[in-house]
This record gives sequence, structure tokens and C-alpha cells, in this order.
Amino acid sequence: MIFSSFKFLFFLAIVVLIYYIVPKKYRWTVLLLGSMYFYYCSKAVFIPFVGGVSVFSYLTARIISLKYEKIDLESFNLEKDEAKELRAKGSAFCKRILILALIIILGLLVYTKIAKYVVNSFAHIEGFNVIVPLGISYFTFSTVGYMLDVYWKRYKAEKNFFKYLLYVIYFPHITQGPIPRYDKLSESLFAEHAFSYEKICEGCSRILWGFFKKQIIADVAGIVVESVFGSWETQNYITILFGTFMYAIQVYVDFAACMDMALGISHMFGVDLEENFRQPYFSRSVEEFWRRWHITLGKWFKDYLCMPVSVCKPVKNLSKKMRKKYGNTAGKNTVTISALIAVWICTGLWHGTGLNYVLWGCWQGGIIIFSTLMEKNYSKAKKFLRINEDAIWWKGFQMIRTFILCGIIPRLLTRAASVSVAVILFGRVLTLHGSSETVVGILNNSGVNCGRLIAMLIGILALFTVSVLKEIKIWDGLIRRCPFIIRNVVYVILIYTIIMFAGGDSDITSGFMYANF
Amino acid sequence: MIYLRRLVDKKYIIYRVTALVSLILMLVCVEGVFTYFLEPVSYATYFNHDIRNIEGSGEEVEMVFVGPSRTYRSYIPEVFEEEMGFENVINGGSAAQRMIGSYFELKDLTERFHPKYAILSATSAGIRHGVGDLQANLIIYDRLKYINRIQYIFAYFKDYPAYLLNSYRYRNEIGNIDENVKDRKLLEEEDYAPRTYLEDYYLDKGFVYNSKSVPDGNMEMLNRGRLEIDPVYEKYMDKCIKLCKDKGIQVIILTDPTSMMSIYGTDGYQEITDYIGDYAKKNGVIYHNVNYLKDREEFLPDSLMLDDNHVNGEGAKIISKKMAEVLKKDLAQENTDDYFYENEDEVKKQVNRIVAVSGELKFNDDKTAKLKMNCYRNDDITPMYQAEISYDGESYEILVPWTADRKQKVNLTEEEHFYLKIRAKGQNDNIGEAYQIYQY
Repeated sequence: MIFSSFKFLFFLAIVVLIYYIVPKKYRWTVLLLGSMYFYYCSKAVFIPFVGGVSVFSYLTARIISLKYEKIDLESFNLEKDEAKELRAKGSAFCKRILILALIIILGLLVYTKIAKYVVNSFAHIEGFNVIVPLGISYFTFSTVGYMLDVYWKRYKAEKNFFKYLLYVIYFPHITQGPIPRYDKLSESLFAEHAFSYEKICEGCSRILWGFFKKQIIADVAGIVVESVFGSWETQNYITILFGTFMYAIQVYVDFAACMDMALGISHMFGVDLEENFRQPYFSRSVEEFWRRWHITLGKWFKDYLCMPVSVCKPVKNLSKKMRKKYGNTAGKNTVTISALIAVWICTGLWHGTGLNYVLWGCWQGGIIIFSTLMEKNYSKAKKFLRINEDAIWWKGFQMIRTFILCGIIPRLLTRAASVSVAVILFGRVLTLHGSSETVVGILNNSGVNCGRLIAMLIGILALFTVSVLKEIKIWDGLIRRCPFIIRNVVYVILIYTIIMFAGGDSDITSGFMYANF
Repeated sequence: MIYLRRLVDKKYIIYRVTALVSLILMLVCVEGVFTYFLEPVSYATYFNHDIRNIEGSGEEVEMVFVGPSRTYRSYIPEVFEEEMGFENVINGGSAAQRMIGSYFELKDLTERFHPKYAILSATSAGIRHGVGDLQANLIIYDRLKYINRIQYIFAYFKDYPAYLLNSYRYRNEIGNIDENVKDRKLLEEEDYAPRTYLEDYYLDKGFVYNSKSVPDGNMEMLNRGRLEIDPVYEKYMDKCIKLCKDKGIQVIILTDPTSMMSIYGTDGYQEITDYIGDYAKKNGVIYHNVNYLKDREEFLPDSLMLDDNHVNGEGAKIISKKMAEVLKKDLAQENTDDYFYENEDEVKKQVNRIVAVSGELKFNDDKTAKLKMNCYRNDDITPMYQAEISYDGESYEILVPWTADRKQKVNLTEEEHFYLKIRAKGQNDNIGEAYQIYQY
């Protein structure tokens, strides 16, 4: 059951109805039952898996939390040194428990991802298939983050298992994120929300916008992209660039559409999920791009990987050595670079286990590391060239540069069938390789009718306009402030564009790309 | 509190209600506009017009037929009205109608009118496939009144909700807007006079006339496989019978006419006939297999078929007359066993001809090919085959002269496209030739 299916919309309507009928105090239980049903309908076979991870992480956090409470209680009447010793012992115990839990939970994630990669790439064993539980990357990160937070005493472990289970399997976010932090989400998730007509309307309009983006832009772009990369042997540099450009649009719109729907759905229950996108293609640097793209994943890596790596003993020792040998800057950079390497290798592997994803991570991380190292030189060069940072041309240049670095080059790497194919395609682009293939030919071969292509083009323009308005901060509330007639006209146009130009037969839908991660 | 205050705030409520109602109205209007421009004229348009006319006139309908294309192409309401003295007979058959569709069609017709007799179809496609395909079910959906429509949606369209919007269903008609609007206007102006499309036209009360016919002896040999009863078919057949019993309607089950080739090409044909016969007996219902009508070889030759599965307009006239006679006796509770052969073997015994021919080419790398020829016939006929080849589709030259050996190795020239004509005849030469043309 995916968000863009009619079955899901029907399910959502029922859950919303029941949610607001049930007394406020018990509304979260409706969400829990709804989420369980959603997961059951999506892939019932994975229920033991997600259930097991939830129970295991819940118990781990509870044990750690109880241990902390016990230590606090026991150390209350003890001398300072004794209390310190008790705390150290307790911490060591908790650490062992945590490490064991992390090995098991992350091990399952790594196992499913690697096994899938191995089976898909090398071992085609008849009848053997690796099943990857729905949303495994997302719920694993949520549970790991929760356990670490409890261990770091950011908050206490949740006592009620069912509340915790809801945090893990909450249906708007389980398949594609955002990846929430327990303390932030739980405030909203378990609050007693009153019925709000505005929230329902806002949620519906956001779902509609997401539906539009998915059906009209992402799905059509996906077909065009397939017709380029499906027959890459005959492509020339123009069609390769065109295909990659369309893929950049497809990936962004597909994921952003899903987020719009997830946030819209959650908003209808009064639960506000964290934004996951902030017009990433308007970023002026790669670093900024990653602060705007899949924001919650970036935050997760920052909180739970970057920070621990920065303060871990081996990195500290290395930093000390570097500082002694090459000075303060080198020491500081050692910490930053070590953390960035760890983050980007993991980010690459999170997206996929193939070599192309590892290279993708290295590319992104490499640029950030390179720009960190060269920061001072940049500033000098800019001063020397008297570049006005606020000039529109400079901003435009930076955006296009970032788009090429983050939207075009790495996308070609991940979309090509293999690294060797990607190398060939890069070669063709760099040598301006020619062939009889044309963009018009690609569009014809894609089998998408003219109406859908025009609708996609208009959709992209509409999306671009909305993004610009958001960027200059005049979009928020703009539609809400319009007279209802204008608002309704917009809704009708969106609805009928979807009806007339969406693909599919039995259900106007196709799956979301990020659900595969 | 704010919300509670707002709840009693009249202005707020009026504003919200107006906004919501205007959105719904806009959607309804836009849907109406799309329906007007995109919906093409179809047989359903004529059928609904006929039904409305009968309803409006206050006339009664005594007999209704339901079933797939073999039903709406075989039974002419007018013939049944004349022969049986009925005021109105409706043929509620529709393309690829399955028993689920037949049930809703029957339910709808019996709610609009008060028929005394309902003729249910037991044909191969319906038996084999339970719920049928989407387009076929949409035809039924269009014919139903609102409550039945809603029930039908829950019974079938749960997985296809988008198709219930005409804008979605007919969205590929965008290029034909002009034609659709013109067609509808013309239809009104001509008062729903029949219009021929590919030798096919809607005649009256659900019957569709076709003037095409298969040339004598040119019936392709197809293997339709084994017939097995689908559980959905049985479920809705039960429902149909219950519905009719509850309303005091007499049910008759008919296996609609098809080509002789279909009988030869269906495995377990007699088993299915027996099964339906037993089912009918168990439910106290009359059952006839129209294909078992005596002397059908004489009155229904292949030239009265429009293809391998349906009778053409002239064939329908003959079948309708025959069946009207039979049904009249059935309704008078007279024995009609004499009209029918008892089983498939008896039917086949009357067939002294090559029923259908087939040829299969398997190409080798060296411009030669293996040709396998086959035909449907009774065991007492020893067939001979001849293969002819044509590169223009007009002039044929002999590729394999008359032979009793059905497997031949043939040499082909370098031409990419050619036509192959396979002929078959009985060795004693007393029976006519059958042939089939294949395009490669």
C-alpha cells in the first residue's frame, strides 16, 4: 500500500475519521492500529522483523534507563569517589548492552543490504531471494537514534511499549522517512489533538501537491530516463546529459513528493513531522545542498555518527599527532575530515551497497573535504577577483555549479547500470561523443504521449515557480490567504491534471524510489 | 476552545461550507464537461436510450437475455416478440459479459421491469473467467441505476476506482473531442437511427447485427483449451437463480451458438455441458445447448458465422426463430428434447467435412522451414493437405502439392513477407475443401 494509491487514500480517510471520533486520550492508539494495518497490508511477512527490532530496542533502552535510575538512587548516599566508581561501572554495563544491541540491529540492516547486493549482482540462485523489510533503513535509524539518545541521557526511555512501537512504525514516516528524533516526535505524536478543519484542509492540499508532483513530473521523468539509460549504448553526450538532468528531476521530485504526502498525512492528525527538503537545487555549495536535501538523514548522521567519530579516542589521538607535526589547523582538519569520511561512506552505503554508491559517497564527501581544506584559498581568490558575494550572477553561478556537482555528476554514477557503464557515459560527455540519437527521438521512444510530456513540462515550471516563491519566503500561507474561489480553481486544476495525465491502469500509481533504500 | 468558538461562529461556518460546496460543484462541473467532450457514442448509448424509451412508455418487458457477445449477437428481440407474442424482449448481453455482470444486469432489468422469463447464458468465456475484464464490466456499470451501481462498485471496482470517473476512463479520447460531440449531436438529430461501423450496427433492444461472414471453409483451427468452471461464475449463477426465484421469474439457461470449430477445439466440451445440465436440473431450471440443435450443420453453416465464435446477423435470424419455437414449447411445458442431439458425439457425427485447418511454420537457419499442417475433422475422414505460397497476397503458387503427410520440409525464398494458404480435403474427395491463410 503506497501513498499514491487509491487504496491508501481510502485507508487514510477511514483512519482520520476514526481518529477524530475516538476520545483524545486514546487517539494515538488509532494511529498505532492504523500503522500496524498499513504495515500488514504493505508486507505482512516483515511484521516479525519490525516487531523484533522494536521489542529489542525498547528493552535495550529500558534496561539502560533503569540502570541509570538505579545508579542515581544508589549513588545518592555514597561518597563522591564511590559514586563515581558506581557510575563508571554502570556506564560500562550500559555501553556493553548498547553495543550488543547496535551490532544486532545495524547488523541486520547491513546483512539485508549486502545480501541483497550479493544476490542481485553475483549469485543468481534459483528460488533464493533476499527479502528486505519495508522501511528498514528508516526504522533502523530511528531505533538506533533512540537507543543512543537514552544512553547519552538526552531523555529517558519510554515506558509504554506501544507508544514506542507507534514511534517506530508510524505509517506516514515508516516507508521513506523523515527520520525523527523520539523526543521531538513524541511531543506531537502523543499530544491530545483537537479536530481542526484547517489542518485537514492543509494536509489534504499538501497531499494533493505531492500526488501531483509524483504522478505528473516524477513518473513521466522516470519513463524518459529509462529510455535513455535503458539503451545507453546508442546515446550521445547531449542525450546522456538530458537523461541525467531528467533523472536529477525525477529523484528530487519523487522524494519531495513522498515527503509532501507524508507530512500532509501526518498534519491531518495534528502531528507535525520534520521537513526533509528545503529547495536543495537552490543551494550555493555542496555542504548547503546536504543541509537542504534529506535534512533528517543529514541530521541523524551529524548527531549519531559525526559527533561520536569527532570525539572518539583514535581520532583524538590522530588529531594530536597531526597538530604536533603540522600545526593547529591540521589537527582541527584531521577531526573534521575523519568525521566526514565516516559520514559519507555511510551515507553512500545507506543509499545502496554497490560500488557506484560507495563512489557516490566518496564524490560528495570528497568535494566537501576539498572545499573545507581550500576555504581560506577561496576567500583569498574571491577577494582578489573582487567578487561580490551578494551579486545575483554570482549566486546563480554557485547554484548552477552546485547543481552540476550534486545533481548531475553523481546522478549519472548511480543511474548507470554499473560503474563501468558510468565511466563510458562520462567519457562520452567529456569527448562530446556524437550519435544519431536526439532528444526528440528519446521522447518518442519513451512511449509517453505528447499530453503527458506537456503536462510534465508545465508541472516542472509550476514546481520551479513555487520553489522560487518559497526561497524568497512569500509562498508560506499564500494559497491559504487567497480567496477560496482561486484556491478551489487551483485544486481543481491539480486534481484534473492528475486524472487526465497520470499513468497506470488499475491504480494511477507507481512506487516511490526512496522506499527502496 | 478557539475551535469551539469557531464552531458557533456563523460567519466562519458559512465561509467554510461555501468554500467546500463550491469546490465540490466545480469538480462536478468539470467532470460533466469532460464527460460531454470525451465520452464516445457506443452501443451502451443506444441500449440506454431503448431502455429509457420502454420505461417511459410504461410498456412491460416479458423476457430478458443476459450474457456475453454471443448472446447479444445471437438473439433478436423482435423475432422473440413476434414468435412468442410478447410486448418487449430485451437482449441485455454485452461484450465479454461475465456472470458477475450478468447478475447486476439482470438485477437492474428486473427492478426496472417485471419480466416473466430470464435467459441466462452459459458460454465458454464466462465459465472460464470469473470476473472478466475492466472494459467489459464498465459497459455493465454504465447501464445500471444508482443503487445497483454502488453495489457493483463494491463487487468489482474496488481496485479500479479511477475508472468510475469519465474523465479518467475516456482520457485517451482527447484527440476525438470533435468527433464525439458531432456523433452525439447526429445521434439526437437522427433519433438514434442505427449507424454501421465495420459491418456492425446496433439494431434494437440490445441486439447487434453484423453482415460479415466467414467464407465457406475458411475457419482457422484454434485450440481453446480445457473448460473449467470458475468459482465466481458459479457464485453469481446461484445469485441469478435466487434473484429470479425470489421475483417469480422463470429461468432458462442457454449455451449460445458458436462455430463448429469451437466445439472441436474445446477440450471437455461435453463435460461442461453435462455439468450445466446437472446444475440446471438441481435448480429446477431448463437448460439447452443451442449448438446441439438438430440439423445445425444444415441451417447454420460457417458462412453464417461472422468469426470463429459468433453468428452473424443472418445466422442470428435463424437461431432466434429456432429458439423462439423451442422456448415457446418449453414455456408451455412441452417436451423439447426432440429438438436437440443428446451429446457432442451425436453433433459431431453429422459433420462430414473438414471443420478447420491450421499450418505452423518453424524456420530453420538455411532458408528452409518445417511445415506442420493439421485440421479438425471426424476420425473417419482421412485428410490431404496442400500448401500454397504468395508474395503479394493475390497470386498463389503451390509450395507443397496434395499429400497425406502433414509434416513437410519447405524451401522459402528470401522474401521477408509472404502469405501461406493451407488447404485440406478428405481423401475420398466427396467433401469440400477447407483452407486457411497465414501471413508471415
